[in-house]
Amino acid sequence: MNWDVVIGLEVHAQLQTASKLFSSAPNAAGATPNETASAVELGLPGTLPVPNAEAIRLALRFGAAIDAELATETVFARKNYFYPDLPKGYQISQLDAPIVGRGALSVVMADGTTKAIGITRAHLEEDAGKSVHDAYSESTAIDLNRAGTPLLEIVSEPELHSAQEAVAYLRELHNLVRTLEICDGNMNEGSLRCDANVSLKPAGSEKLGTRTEIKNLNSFRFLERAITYEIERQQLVLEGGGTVVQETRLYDPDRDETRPMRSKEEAEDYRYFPDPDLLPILLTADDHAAARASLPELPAAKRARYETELGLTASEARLLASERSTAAYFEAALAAGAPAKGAANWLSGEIAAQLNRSGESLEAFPITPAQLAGLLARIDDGTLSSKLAKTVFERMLETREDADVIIEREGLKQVSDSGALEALVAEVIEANPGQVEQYRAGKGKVLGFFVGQLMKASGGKANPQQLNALLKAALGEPGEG
Amino acid sequence: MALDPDAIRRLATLSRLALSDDEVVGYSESLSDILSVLDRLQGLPVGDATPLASPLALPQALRPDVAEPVTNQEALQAGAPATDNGFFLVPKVLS
Repeated sequence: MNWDVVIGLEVHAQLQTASKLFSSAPNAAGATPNETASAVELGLPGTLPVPNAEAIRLALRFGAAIDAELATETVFARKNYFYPDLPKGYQISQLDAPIVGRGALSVVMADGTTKAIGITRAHLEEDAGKSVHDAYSESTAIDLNRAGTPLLEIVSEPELHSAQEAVAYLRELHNLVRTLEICDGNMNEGSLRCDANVSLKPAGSEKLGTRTEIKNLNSFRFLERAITYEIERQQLVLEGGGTVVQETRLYDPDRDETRPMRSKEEAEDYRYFPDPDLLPILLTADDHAAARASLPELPAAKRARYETELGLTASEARLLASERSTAAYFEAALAAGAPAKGAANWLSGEIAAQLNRSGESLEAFPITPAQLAGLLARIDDGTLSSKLAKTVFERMLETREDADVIIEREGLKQVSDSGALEALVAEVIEANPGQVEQYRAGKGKVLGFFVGQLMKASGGKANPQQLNALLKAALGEPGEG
Repeated sequence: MALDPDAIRRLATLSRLALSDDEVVGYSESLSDILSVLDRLQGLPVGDATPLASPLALPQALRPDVAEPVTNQEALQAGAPATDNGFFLVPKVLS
């Protein structure tokens, strides 16, 4: 039987504010447990939450970026549940009047096509603290440093139809929140977290199947693997005549499987109601306009500009605009005079390969964008052949020096002086009469032997185009045999 | 709307309250009485007035995003039954 896969993602993005969502405690990890937990985060009697204006602004900026309906009145609600890392017994969240309403994100899929994925809503809420289960044998340890961190929960429509589409959506969203500078996107540290709702329905059927929610997806790879596993699991259940149980499942990366997290008896019943400690927040047309005015160039616009204005191919534009740090590096190289095509080639080629090898991020790359521009200038003016340029690039990685410094010191200039090259050609021809004979007898391939000898004799510095021309001039066309 | 004893038991579980069978019956009756008063309110003609999230006609004050270090951690932990190395300690959650 054929099945349609239906996936929706809930993404929690920690907002980059200085202070917490409802108190002036620092929004920072803290060096020691509970260092950044104030009386508000501890839920002590007599405290009152006061919303952080910057968190509201960052949420509106996100809403403007996905062209969403922005609230004129937004309401905080209590979501009630008991867990030790939530001292108040409720999380302040939003239900009926979220700050950001319906919008859409344009996502480039793996095959290069673009698809608009609906975003149902995005709302503000406070993060919970952390429970440490393995530090004490008789107790669970509670650290409330994370409690009260502003979160934007971004809920997609169930419009994703494969694990790959879900990953493409999350990558696009990841790049967007980083470009907007509202979230650092660090998935390892939980700054951006993802839950996936997955269901199957018979191909072509209108009616949605029962869904499961998978938690704990803190990398793109885990998201892809967990969804792939869950699709197979549900397919086996359904084809075996069973029914999928609506439940929350936890992804275990060590075993590469999902398993049920909460029993049915404890199924979620959060008894939301408007938080009586907080009044509705009124947002004006000016607030909305300010959010729109605060938008930087968005990734989709960047891709379009790279193609139309810089003449890059669609795949080059996609690669460069898909990650904020790559786009920033590329544009800094352009500003330093690098040609767009050359910079794109090096970023997708040598630099990507080097980052792959070293596992470093582009932010920590030893060669600055201006230094890359300097290297490309020496290729353009003929000082370096592409082979020599790679050698200089390797040296730059080691020494962090400018290309010109390395070229000068190590004498890596390409020899384009035709007098010097002609002398070399004559020398090599004289030293290899046998090969000259073969060439003249019709073995055109022997030309490669001469090129190799000459590159060797010049220490790799001969200009290859010029060398070929000079060789052909000296040897003539290969004989007819 | 009436709250039957099963609904009361479920609410008690969600609220972490241990109720005796007598209490379940008692709360079922008294909470149903309260809800019947609300049912009468539901019947009032309010026209197309928009629902209010708060009865106060005041705007919520916002706070500028300025962080201040927490300087009273010791005092904040003083009331906790158990702490260690800055952690609050609670009964084991996972066995």
